[in-house]
Amino acid sequence: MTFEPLDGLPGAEPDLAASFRAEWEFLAAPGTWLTGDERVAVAAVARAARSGDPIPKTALDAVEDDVAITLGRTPGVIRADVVDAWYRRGLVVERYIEMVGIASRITAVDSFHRAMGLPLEALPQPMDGEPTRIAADPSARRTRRSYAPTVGAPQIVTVLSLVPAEQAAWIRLSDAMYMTFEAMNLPGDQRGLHRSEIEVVAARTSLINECFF
Amino acid sequence: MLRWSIEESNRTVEMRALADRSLDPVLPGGSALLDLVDAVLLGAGDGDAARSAVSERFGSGGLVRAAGVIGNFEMMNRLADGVGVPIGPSTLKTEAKLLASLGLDRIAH
Repeated sequence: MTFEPLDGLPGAEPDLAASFRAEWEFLAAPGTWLTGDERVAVAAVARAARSGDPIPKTALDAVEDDVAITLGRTPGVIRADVVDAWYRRGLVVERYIEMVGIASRITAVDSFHRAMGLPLEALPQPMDGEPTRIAADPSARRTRRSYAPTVGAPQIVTVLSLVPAEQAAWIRLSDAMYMTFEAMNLPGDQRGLHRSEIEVVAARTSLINECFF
Repeated sequence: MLRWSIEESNRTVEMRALADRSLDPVLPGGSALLDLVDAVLLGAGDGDAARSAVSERFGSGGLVRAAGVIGNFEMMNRLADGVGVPIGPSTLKTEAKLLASLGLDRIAH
């Protein structure tokens, strides 16, 4: 069983451990554009980069290695020219979006564990199989002012919509770790903290990461 | 979201304390929450002490909740940075004073 320390953890609601377990299963399985091996490799490289550990050697090519390291360690340096340079080196946009999703979610799970003083969960064993290659509707893609197409206007709620499975995965995790879109209209107490206290934590985290959206 | 939540609940938060830790955030328990964030993201201070302070003030549920929010925004920041989610010109204009007071006007959006 994965994430055993969360079972019976005082104050933790069951959906949190369930969301982490669902994320681990999703991470290990073949994705939309990456194999299970490649997905776990992205997670391993991003985790090591975020932790300041030696970067493991994986099957990722040089540019995808750079992408995973940057997403883990210094996401604030990513600008249009940085992403364009990655594209010129052969990075495929759909694979990039999948990597953004994986690196972001492994960081979320790991940062939760760091905040709780818990050891990081071992990464899952990759599953065999081929990527699904289920793409977003090409006619619905928009690229205005973002580094990759989105379905609809580029904003945080559409950020990974080019790869629908990745879009669904971050929302699933955010629902358990932060709140659902419906709950965002509630200004009062939510699971142990008042909304203002939640947003103080969110704002300080984003400020340290030099991210404002 | 922070400004909206404090206006809706008639609470007070000194916004500049989010950027300048020498200032009192005013919000009860706010310093404990900020100390926890700093311990996780900056390695500042004693992580165990920060967790204890949050747990004593907000209970074990509050600590789990704070840890979840830290993790969530570590994710959201990477999503926004990675894909280049733009800040609308009207938001930049209306929030110009706040961004400047927090030192965020130096960050490219």
